[in-house]
Amino acid sequence: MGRRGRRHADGSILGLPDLTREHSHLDEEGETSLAALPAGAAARVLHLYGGRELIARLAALGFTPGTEVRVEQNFGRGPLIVGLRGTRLALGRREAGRVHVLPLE
Amino acid sequence: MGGCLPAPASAGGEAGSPRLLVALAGQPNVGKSTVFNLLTGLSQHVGNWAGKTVEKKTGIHRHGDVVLELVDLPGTYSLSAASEEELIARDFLLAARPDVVVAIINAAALERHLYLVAELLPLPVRLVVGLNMVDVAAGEGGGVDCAALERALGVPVVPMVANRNQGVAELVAAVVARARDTAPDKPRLPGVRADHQSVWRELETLLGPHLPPMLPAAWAASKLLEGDREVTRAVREACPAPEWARIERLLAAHEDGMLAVASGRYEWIADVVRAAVRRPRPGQVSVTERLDRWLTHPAWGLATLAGVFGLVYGLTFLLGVPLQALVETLITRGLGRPLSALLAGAPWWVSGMLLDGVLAGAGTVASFLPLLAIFFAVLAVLEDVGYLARAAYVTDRFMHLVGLHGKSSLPLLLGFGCNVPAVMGARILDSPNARRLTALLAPLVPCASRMTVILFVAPLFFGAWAPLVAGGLVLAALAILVAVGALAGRLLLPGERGAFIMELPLYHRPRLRTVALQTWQHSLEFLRKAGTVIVVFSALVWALSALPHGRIEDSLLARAGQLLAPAGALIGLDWRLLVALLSSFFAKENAVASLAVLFAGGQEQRLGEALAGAFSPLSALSFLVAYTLFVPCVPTLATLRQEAGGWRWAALSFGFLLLLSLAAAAVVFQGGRWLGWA
Repeated sequence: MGRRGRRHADGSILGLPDLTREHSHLDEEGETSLAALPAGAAARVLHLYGGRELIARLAALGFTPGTEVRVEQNFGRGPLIVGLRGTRLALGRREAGRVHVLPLE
Repeated sequence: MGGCLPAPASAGGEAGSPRLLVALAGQPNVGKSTVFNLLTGLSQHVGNWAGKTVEKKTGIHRHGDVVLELVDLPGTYSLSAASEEELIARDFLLAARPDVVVAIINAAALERHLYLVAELLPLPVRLVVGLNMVDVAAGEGGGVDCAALERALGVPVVPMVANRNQGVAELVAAVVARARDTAPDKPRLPGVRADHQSVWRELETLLGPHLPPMLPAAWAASKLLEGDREVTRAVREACPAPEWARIERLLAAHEDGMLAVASGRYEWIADVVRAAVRRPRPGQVSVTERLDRWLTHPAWGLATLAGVFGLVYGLTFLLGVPLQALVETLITRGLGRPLSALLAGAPWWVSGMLLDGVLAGAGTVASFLPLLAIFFAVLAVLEDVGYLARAAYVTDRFMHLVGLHGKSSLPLLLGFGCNVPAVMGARILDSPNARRLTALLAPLVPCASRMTVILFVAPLFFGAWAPLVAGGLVLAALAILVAVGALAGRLLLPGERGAFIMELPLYHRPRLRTVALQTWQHSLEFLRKAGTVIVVFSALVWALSALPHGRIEDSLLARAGQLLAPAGALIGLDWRLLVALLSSFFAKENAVASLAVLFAGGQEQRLGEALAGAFSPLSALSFLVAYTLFVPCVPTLATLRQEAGGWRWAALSFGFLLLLSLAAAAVVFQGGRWLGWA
């Protein structure tokens, strides 16, 4: 039981990967973050980055890979409004930066 | 931390038992509290979950010969144990083993609300779904087929409109019927995304033989894939070493399991929605979109917020001040006169204590309540309409200056009414640090009680300039709040602040019941926390101002004031203004009453001229600055201790604001003198 009691950097026992690090090698063609999309743009969720709690919150609210989202408001600074699954969500800029998407036509 | 493995059944359970333990689960703002209040009425008991600052509400409802013991679980989006609330809800479901769990969901946002149902179904519970707000869903053109939903879920579904008390009796009947039927639920369960199916099944097989019988292996397997710390620990303790080693290897190879599990739930939700929703998509959205173009705009939105808040404040004082005067008259005429007649023969200190101490204190509380209730009612309307979420959104950038995010604005806005509910309101933040910082900043928001004093004193000295002075004081207090927040956040509470993720609900007309309930709850918080303290301290202040000889001029309070007089000279206050300042520590509105006692023998009508004759405008300004920033009142400090966890934070707030208020007043007074104003 070598790993019993061992704690990882994020405090978890399981040792989830450090998802706060950008995984550039995973980048798909055209991949970008939600925060970088202009108002009116639609996109498909590819992946979430961040701590376990942030990912759990975002996933519970419906940001699962493959979900279509629409940026309703983005002034380049401050929070964003994102439409998904028929509802509107306010998202801090930092949080929006953790949602990686593939823009749709 | 409560263990996640269930303890033996602790309540109810056996068939035919007349007592049923029923848990209410649901997302925040789904109308769960409305249902709970309708069912339990006056029998409810409000406390905290053991060792937590999360509110726990329990109550009793009788249905024929059956007694339902209801427990209102904290509102949660899921049961992922990502927050304290989620952990509490889950632990309760597993450990207390309620006979029936009721999930209240919003028919108008079915997809999002079914996520919690997807988490509840795999647990060993008997579930009844309350499909709330069916009227809103139908109005938006997306009706839900209840029978089809019931078939798709495999558990009873009751349509309801809780805020009109429709369907609540049917919900109770369904709960009792479900409890009588001892067969377990046979729902169609959510799975995980296809690419993780095999590892999920493998984990389930590995775990199965080692888990306690009431803990489903499939559920535990999902939780392991999600990286759930509590379940991981429990499974590690339950499994023999070789199995655990294999489990760990599997998990290490599937570290992205959390998203596969969430995707699996949403795939299941998509199937259910396809079966049950007749016509999706609304017309209301366009109205909301159009309004939001203005109301959430970085510039126009902030301007609107300032305007809205100006209106709220104007309305509160326009309606509240006459009401306040009315209540005061009622109390002096209705209670004061008969009581003083009754006490005519009693010693001076008995009648003084009762009339000028206790009754005056009760009068302060009673007369202040209408003002506060109006403020809370207007705020509740803004919240119910959907506007407050936008207020949080437009202030997000601003709150980042303080090291917080937009959600913190909501409790702080409440602070303009009373700081007590503001400190308690910080509970809505999910990070403990953000909660603490918000609670610590709340006393810097000038409450309505302080505003009444400022609005009384300012016109005496500044005439037509009074609104400007009052507005300047509010803005200065808020500027200091930002500066203090930025500093304190960095020095005292560094680290995680939680995420800014908030639903922006569709705008809709306010519902009377929701508004009334909110107003009642916030007013009750003020009454409970502040009411008794104000009455007790009013009696104490009276004693200090009358003992030992029955005159204020040589009372204990006067002596304390005179002792501090040299310090007061530095900020331009004589001992009487110092006493007024000190008395505001017990309740902010005490300041005027103290001045009345000191200057006009208790008569507030004559106070105006007496004050204006006694001080220079510069002294008055210095007093107002010190008063606006002065230490939190006793009820606020008590709440701060309870919410921030320990006297340390309350003491810090006290000490810091004491220094800050005196320093600011000194700067104003000495600066003014240097400029030759006095």
